[in-house]
Amino acid sequence: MTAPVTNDELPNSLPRPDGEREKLEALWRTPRGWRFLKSVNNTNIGLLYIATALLFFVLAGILALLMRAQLAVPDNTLLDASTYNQVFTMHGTVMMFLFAIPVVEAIAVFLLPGMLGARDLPFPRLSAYAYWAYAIGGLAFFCTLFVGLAPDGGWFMYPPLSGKQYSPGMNADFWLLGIGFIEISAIAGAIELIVGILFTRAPGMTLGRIPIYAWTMLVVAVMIVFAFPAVIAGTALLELERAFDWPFFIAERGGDPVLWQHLFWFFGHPEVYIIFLPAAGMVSTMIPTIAQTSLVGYRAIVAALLGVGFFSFGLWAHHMFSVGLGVMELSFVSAASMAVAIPTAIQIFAWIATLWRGSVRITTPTLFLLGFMFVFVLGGLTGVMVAVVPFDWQVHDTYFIVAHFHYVLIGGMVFPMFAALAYWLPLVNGHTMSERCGRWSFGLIFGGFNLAFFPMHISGLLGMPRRVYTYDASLGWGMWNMLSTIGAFILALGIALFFLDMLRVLRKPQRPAGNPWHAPTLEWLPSEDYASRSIPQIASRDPLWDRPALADEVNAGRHWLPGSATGGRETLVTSPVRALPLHVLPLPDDSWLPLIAAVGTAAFFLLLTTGSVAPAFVCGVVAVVAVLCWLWQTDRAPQVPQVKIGEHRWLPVGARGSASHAWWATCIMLTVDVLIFACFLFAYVHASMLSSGSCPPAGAHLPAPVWPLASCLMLLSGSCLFEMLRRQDAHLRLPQGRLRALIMLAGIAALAAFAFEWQGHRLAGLDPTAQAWSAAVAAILAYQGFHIFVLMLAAAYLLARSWKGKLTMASRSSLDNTALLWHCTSLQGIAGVLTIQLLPQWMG
Amino acid sequence: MRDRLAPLSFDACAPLLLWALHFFGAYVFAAAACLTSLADTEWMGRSVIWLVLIVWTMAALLCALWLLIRAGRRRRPDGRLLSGVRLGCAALGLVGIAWTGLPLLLLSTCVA
Repeated sequence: MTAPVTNDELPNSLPRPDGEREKLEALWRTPRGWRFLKSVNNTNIGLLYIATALLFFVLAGILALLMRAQLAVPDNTLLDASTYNQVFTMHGTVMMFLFAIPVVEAIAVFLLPGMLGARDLPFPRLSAYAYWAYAIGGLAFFCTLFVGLAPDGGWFMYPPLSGKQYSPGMNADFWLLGIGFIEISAIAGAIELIVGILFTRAPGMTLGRIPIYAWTMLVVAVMIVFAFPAVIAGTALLELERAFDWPFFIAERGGDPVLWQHLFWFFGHPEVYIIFLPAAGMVSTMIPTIAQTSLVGYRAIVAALLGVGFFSFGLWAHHMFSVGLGVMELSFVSAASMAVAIPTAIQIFAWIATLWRGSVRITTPTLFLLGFMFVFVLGGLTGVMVAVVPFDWQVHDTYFIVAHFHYVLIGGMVFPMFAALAYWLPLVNGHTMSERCGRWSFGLIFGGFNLAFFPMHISGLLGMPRRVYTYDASLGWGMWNMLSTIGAFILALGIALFFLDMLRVLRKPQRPAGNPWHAPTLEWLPSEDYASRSIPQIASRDPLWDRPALADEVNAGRHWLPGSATGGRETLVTSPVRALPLHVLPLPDDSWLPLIAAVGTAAFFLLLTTGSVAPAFVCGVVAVVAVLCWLWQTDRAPQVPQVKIGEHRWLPVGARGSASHAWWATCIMLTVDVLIFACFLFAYVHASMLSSGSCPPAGAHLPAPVWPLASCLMLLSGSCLFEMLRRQDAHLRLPQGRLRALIMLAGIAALAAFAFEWQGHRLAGLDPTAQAWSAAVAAILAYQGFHIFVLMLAAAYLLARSWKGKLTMASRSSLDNTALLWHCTSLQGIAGVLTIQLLPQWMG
Repeated sequence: MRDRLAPLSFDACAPLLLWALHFFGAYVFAAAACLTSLADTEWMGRSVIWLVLIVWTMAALLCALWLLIRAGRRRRPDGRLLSGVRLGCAALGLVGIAWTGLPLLLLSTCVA
């Protein structure tokens, strides 16, 4: 049933009960002083996230200026070779992993609750945990630069250079650590965004009415789910090689450095679009406002977003044109690299058409958007050039490539980000930036950028390689480098001016934001800590244009859920396609637990990297306990089964099974998990194909079939036991004592399964240090062992909940989600066993 | 959930999934087969690898064309999101597969 939107049929009437707004304010109030650190509201976390990401942008920018100062003149001695290596590695790593990805997720976390009309996204504590892990870990990672421990092998850390033989210190380990934090925050962000966009939209916001920015973030979040597992698996393998001498990437022992490149770039190329698409989404949101007309080609843009999302996964090997892959494979990738230009061009033409149709106001955001189009199109054109294999062979690893990807990344992401900062800054404290400063900063940034990076095309074509710390005067690159350096400092001046003006504005006192650009989207509704007073009923794609009274109605409490129906924080859950109200989702309060868990996580990895094993495990235990406490609190029975969200509308509180947001989050997490496992299987297949002639290679043996068979049977038994208890518990047939016995039996079965598998490999003499094939088998085994450990933790947690009487029909999210994890572990274990046993026989 | 999200998503993305299947199938087959004796095997004077890839590409192109025609027939004038996105994805999928197949007109054997 679609809810009414005519003026006299709004969900709630006036006057509203006394104290309704005050109660909302009290429930959602942001803690003051040092207690602010326990805030979990996505709007607050989003602001912290954006500020931290911008800090990393500035820090990495300073490193860029150091590099440009070094290269300004030939034979310069400002930085020595070793320091220069650390500086360029940190510049690339920090820009890509600690600035670009986090800032796009940060802006999404800040904007989306308002844009979707939700009070908050469904997992605020997860967002807080992801942010703190990223901030603490990222800052610690950056500080390695000051003690000479920063990584120095380039931002993509190719082995063998990053292997123990050529990088014996801890520098490369710190790179792997830094990546680990962004892996955590990116996956957490993706879960939050997918579930949030699909299920917490305002009623009436059907798939066809979703703001285009939300569409982009949905596509991007799904891309993160499919892209990140490759780099998670790659970094795990590299760390295993460095820590335990498992030779995945050492050619002399059957490994292959190219395996790293496949894994890294299967993440690395989609990552470019993971960075660009959110910026494109922001552009698609801002352009209709500055042109004061609806976006042209909404449906074509959605199709183009999906197209880019798919095609971007076919481009990974275009970073590997010179590593010796077959020409046929290279040609397929080259073709895909050109095909991706089509959906990208669809978006650009839609923006131009929107500007053409509307009446454009030249403001600071407009200037940055026009700058974006100019710079990004140039970067896209050189992208098509380097997609041509023979041309790429000529310019690979030269400054032409440096110029190309800076045009794409700065053009495609940084220019839209500046436009977005100027455009959405009024949401923070109600003030806009100075137009005069904005124009000056745009001029300096645009001019400085082109002066810095256009000459690099020429120095690259003249043969200047990337990553050289100096060059000889006779090579003739001096003038181009001097121009680039002057441009870089002008660019830095423009960025400094922009940020100074932003800081000036942020120091002004708070006032209502209003709608300074006359924008059509919901984030411009009047809002407080609780977001908008009531959750709007939407009937079009541009709600604030099509229903001018909406802001007043919402602020008066005439739409859905004008107060707190459950007595706590909450938001509406709507159906994913038609956005029909389904249930009220209670949201968790502010808490220290995400911060404690994040500190524990960051300390665990940092201490482990420095070799302090015992303190590291103490911190790891702190992190796990904090997470379990947080899960304990959030899986609770609702106080009342149903609440009133409008005068004639009641909804249930919370949901179970596949209707629950936690179930969806677990499914997304398990998708990531399965894909990581698939990458380990890929490493095994790759190592098997390299073991020329005999598989297993000489000296390695498969376990006797009885052990893997027994392991599979035990895994199946464990899963059957768990499914039995889940189904019986769903009908309230099982007493708690028998339920606990079944959990313990399932746990014993899982442990036995792993023990059988382990014993089989032990008897077969598995030695992971001997050659890459054995290392790959050991990696699959270790991953399964990790899952069994997690299952044991989950089983203990369920037992504790059962003993405390908290495993009931009304609070069974823990049981349902553990069941998913249990079955996934069983299937992975069986798939691993079958692959290890059958592939050598198939290969003969 | 009451909405049929999964079938709807599949309906819209089917042409792009077909592109992914064709692309990765062609890539993996070429990469793996070129390491085996198939690299030197010919049938009717043409490389077997090339013939397999041509058949694979033609089959994918026919499927993509069918999806495009189907999307065109199911297009609704009311401007619904799904019908437009389905058509757009079908066009992109067809172009993507055709593009991936183009190298086969120029390359006929494995070259390392």
